[in-house]
Amino acid sequence: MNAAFQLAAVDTTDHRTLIVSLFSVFVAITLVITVLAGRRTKDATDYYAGGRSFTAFQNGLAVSGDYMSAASFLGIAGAIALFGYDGFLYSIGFLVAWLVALLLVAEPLRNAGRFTMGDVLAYRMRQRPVRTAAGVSTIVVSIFYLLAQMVGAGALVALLLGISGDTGKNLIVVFVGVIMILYVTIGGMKGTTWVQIVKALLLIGGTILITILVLAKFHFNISDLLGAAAANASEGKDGVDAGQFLSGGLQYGLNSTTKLDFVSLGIALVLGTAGLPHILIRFYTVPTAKTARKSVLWAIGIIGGFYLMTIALGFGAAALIDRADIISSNAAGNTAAPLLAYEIGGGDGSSGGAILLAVISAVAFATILAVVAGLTLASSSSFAHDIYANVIRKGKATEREEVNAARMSAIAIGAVAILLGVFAGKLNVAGLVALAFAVAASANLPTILYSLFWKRFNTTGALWSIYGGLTVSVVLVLFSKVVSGDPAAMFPDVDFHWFPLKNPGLISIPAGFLFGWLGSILSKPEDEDGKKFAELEVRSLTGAGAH
Amino acid sequence: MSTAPPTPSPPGNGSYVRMQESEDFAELRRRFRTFAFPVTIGFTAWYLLYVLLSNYAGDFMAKKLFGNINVAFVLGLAQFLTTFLIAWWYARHANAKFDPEADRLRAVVEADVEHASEDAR
Amino acid sequence: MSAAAVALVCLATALFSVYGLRPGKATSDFYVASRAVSPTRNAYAIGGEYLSAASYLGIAGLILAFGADMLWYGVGYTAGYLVLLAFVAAPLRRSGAYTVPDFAEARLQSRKVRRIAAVLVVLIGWLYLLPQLQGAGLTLRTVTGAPLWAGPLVVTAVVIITVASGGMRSVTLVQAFQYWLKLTALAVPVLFLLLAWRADGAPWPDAAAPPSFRAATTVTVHQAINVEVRDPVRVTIDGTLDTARLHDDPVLLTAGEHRIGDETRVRFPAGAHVPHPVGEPPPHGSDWTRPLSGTDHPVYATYALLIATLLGTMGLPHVIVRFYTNPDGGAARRTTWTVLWLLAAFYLLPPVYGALGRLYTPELLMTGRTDATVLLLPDRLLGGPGGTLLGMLLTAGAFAAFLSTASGLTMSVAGVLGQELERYRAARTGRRTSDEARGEVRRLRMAGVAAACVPCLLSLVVVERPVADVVGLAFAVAASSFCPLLLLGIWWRGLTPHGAAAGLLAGGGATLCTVAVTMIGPPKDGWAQVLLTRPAAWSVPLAFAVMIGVSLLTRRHVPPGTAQSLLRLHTPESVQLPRR
Repeated sequence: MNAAFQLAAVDTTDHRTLIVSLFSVFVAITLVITVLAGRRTKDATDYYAGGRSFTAFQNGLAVSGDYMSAASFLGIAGAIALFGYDGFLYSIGFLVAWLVALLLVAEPLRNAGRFTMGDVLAYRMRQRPVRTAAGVSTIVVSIFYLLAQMVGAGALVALLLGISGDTGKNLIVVFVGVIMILYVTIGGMKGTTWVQIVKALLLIGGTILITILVLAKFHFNISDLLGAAAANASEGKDGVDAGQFLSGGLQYGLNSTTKLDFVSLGIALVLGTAGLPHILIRFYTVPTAKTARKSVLWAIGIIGGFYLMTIALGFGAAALIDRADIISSNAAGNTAAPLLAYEIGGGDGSSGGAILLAVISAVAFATILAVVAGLTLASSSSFAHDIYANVIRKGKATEREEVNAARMSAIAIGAVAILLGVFAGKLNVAGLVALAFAVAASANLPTILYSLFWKRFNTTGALWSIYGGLTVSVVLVLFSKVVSGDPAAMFPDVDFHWFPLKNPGLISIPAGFLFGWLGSILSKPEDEDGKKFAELEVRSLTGAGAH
Repeated sequence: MSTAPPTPSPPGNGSYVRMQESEDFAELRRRFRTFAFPVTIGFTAWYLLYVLLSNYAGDFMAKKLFGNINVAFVLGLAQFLTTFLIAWWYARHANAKFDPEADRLRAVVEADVEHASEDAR
Repeated sequence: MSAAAVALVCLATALFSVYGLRPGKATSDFYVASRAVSPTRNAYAIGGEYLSAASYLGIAGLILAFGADMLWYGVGYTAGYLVLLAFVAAPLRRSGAYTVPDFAEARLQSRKVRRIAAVLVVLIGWLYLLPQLQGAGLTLRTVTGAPLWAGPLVVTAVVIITVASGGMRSVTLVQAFQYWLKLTALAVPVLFLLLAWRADGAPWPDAAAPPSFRAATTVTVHQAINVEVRDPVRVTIDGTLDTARLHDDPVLLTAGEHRIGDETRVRFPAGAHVPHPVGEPPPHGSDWTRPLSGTDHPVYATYALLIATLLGTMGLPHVIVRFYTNPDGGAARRTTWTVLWLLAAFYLLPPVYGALGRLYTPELLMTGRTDATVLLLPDRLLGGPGGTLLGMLLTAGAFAAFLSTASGLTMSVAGVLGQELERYRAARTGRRTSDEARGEVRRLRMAGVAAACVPCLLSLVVVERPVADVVGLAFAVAASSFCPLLLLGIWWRGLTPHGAAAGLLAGGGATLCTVAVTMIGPPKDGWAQVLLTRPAAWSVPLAFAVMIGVSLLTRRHVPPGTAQSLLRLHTPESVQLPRR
């Protein structure tokens, strides 16, 4: 793979120094910020919610930073470069999802909770079981997502730096992991948020630069760009149908199962985003619900703009680089954006190409680092706040102990992430991301929506929807081609799959809602006089008593 | 730091119940729900329609409108556009119709709760 | 790759023990916090410390080799707790003695019996540690190819750090975590293994035939071995066969005996019968699935095993201490009840590995390293990156088992060793200064180092036997020495110091002799072999008989105050007694 990358017109070794120094500058700056922020982290509110001191714009940037992972930066650009319109289709789901978060989740959650999803559930229900459940689903989602990020990171780092040995690659993953642990444990939410902001600015800056350069090459005529992309993509021995390249069907249109799979994925993306723990905790870093709303608005603007630019990036790569080169560099197209940067900067032997390549690679590193830090923070917060402080210690832990537990679990989760990143390098991560979104959509979202808007919902219902949604999604994935019966599966040599789709959302999301409803109506109502729901409803809509 | 409210209702819960039963609050809730719920259903349906069209109506989507830009591309960009528009529309609605009322009721409730907890002391 | 899993578990254990996990009272020092630890969590901790390499790797390996008879190990390990609960737990706790030597001295008022008991505790502890360390060696070699001595050294190093810092045992939460780690590490892979097994058509060991390779398999023989081949088979060998050096050469392995040299790789075709070490034919499918048929003299062997495990549990040094964490009898009962369920749940899993191992890793029958089956199955049956991940999980669980049991045991042994040395010094010098007290701490640490180093050295020199077998021997020694002492001490007022000493020496001495013979190399078959490897059925009655007989002969020496101490042992806490 690495040798192939070097064949693909880019001799990365020359530019490795540049990439590494740019990346080091980023790391140094963010570490300084983190340490500064860490000095002012005194209590739990500082650690979990950055003291609730961020403005809407800052938080909007941070939300975007958390959301725009390496998968969406390099992955979507690559998918567009290889599959054209189908890759574009992917990014739309990621964006539309934010409306669910904006309209239904962000403000009520900010008003009613303090640090985690478990807070909102614990309002109306029996604390310990629902907090345990919320903690479990949070950690499951985070671990799957984290695994995908770390595995991706390992492969990506190797590609971008042209490292062929396992040792070098592993060292870098370990390095990335250690830096991430430092961000989270020293800086807490405040430090991590600043890392996200810096990263988001870098990412957007880099993308704008390349987008303008690409568009300039086609005289800002999008039609020309599309035409050139389709024409270039259909050339060569593994060229594709130019019509399908522009109207869809290359990736998902193979047969009725893949089509259904895409519908399933689309639903999971749209409904899952509002249940992703590292996104949810971002709503607590701002002082009021109104700021939470504004930060989501900013995020929608930034993310939307970013995805629009990835269209230019993806089609630009398809138009300017030979398809065979993209594939030989990385079969999934993940290196399309860096290759494009090299090409657009002047191509072979030019210093412009080298600098642009270095910039984009450094941005990609920063992206990995920041997203992993966000996920680690989310899962360690949930462990410390929901499970440790309120279940194990039954609410008797001091703030100091709770924050220490959060730091400890961040280290533990970081260590696991490093290990997985190093050793699970060959795992197919697409299934894991799908699983993370599906679990978020089928376990977390029903529970959040029911508890905010349905009076009759009770502890049994919450447990049923979380554990039910979680179990259905995990079991369906277990028996899908993600796990067995496919060359790219976790167990390629055995076959016990029977579920045809790779994404369980189509079944598991309705199942999650159904379980929550059934559990509630089949058990005794808890809140007979509606007093607790009254309080939750008034708080969530007016913001009364919010911290 | 016990974060969640204790299971027995705190003093002042009565004020929340009174507020929830008040007509002002019913109006506030109505304003929120009559906007958020239909719009959510609307954009989800619009997105699903788009996904289904991309999946199952290849010929329609491939129709070229001008230059190399086809229906599929336009509809995709329309998704972006509607997302931005809905977000903007919601922000306007919330700022104009929702926030002032919510702030007013919040002040009422908090004053009431304060009062109740003083009584409890 | 799995080395990282090992490193992580070792590092975590060492860190936890040095810095301790001290987020408040719940996990603070375990003797002090005994009343704060709930019975359930205490039960998890007991489970964590009790489930050793023998349970984790050994039972599966024995089932792979000998079949259904070996299920008794799991039953015995679990039921031993029931015996402990019914006859010993409550009175022993009331006695206020923390160890068996303490108990012996308090009950019999004899320094001599105390010293014999102390020596036995140390020997039993070492015997129990031995297979843990050898298991670690085997595990490390199986997953990383490291030499056999690496595992014992790693475990010993971590245990010494642990014991020297004095942390591990005090952290209930860590032990509790270890239980769940071990259970998860066995339970999650089993799910996938069973699915893969079903996908493979759910095969079953052939009833009439000896075990055979399901697929073409390359067997690596690390240490030279004499094997017996039943049917001629064409294989590819890289290494030494009989006297010839071969380099990936095809060769016909004729029926009869062959010697396969060190570091030799043999590739067998699918369907070939598995050769077995000379003189140790594995049972055929039908015998394998039925009880009382796998070994020579199965009825005797089974009863000996059951007696050893049922009566030996109460004599294991690291088990008894845990009972003091319960504040009262009620909590002790709840703890034991939970422990029984936890152990029962755990012991359901190794048989599955054993049975799958029979199908998919039959080459272990040839090399004799059947304990490795648990570690090899995921890669063999599942393969791919998922198989690697599950293998890592199993390795991590195995090391958790070695470390938790080894550190618990070493702490107990070091405690007894240090205490005895201290008494010896105190008796000589008479007085203690603050300097002396500091010296005492240092000597206790030295004792810990010694307690860990001796079995480490032993593990490098003695013949390796299946893990669960050696642990069974440790149980047998405990059953034939401490079981009579505890049972008679608690329930019979006629026990004299002389009787106790004679019984301990006779029972313990006899079993230790059989252990020595077994370690050096036992006779291969016949009654002698069964009597030597499974001594409990004769040594336990012997110990009881000697103890009772000598006590009756020395009736005049029943210690004064026996009636009072028995009264104290048997009176519930709720009854207020005037205490001395």
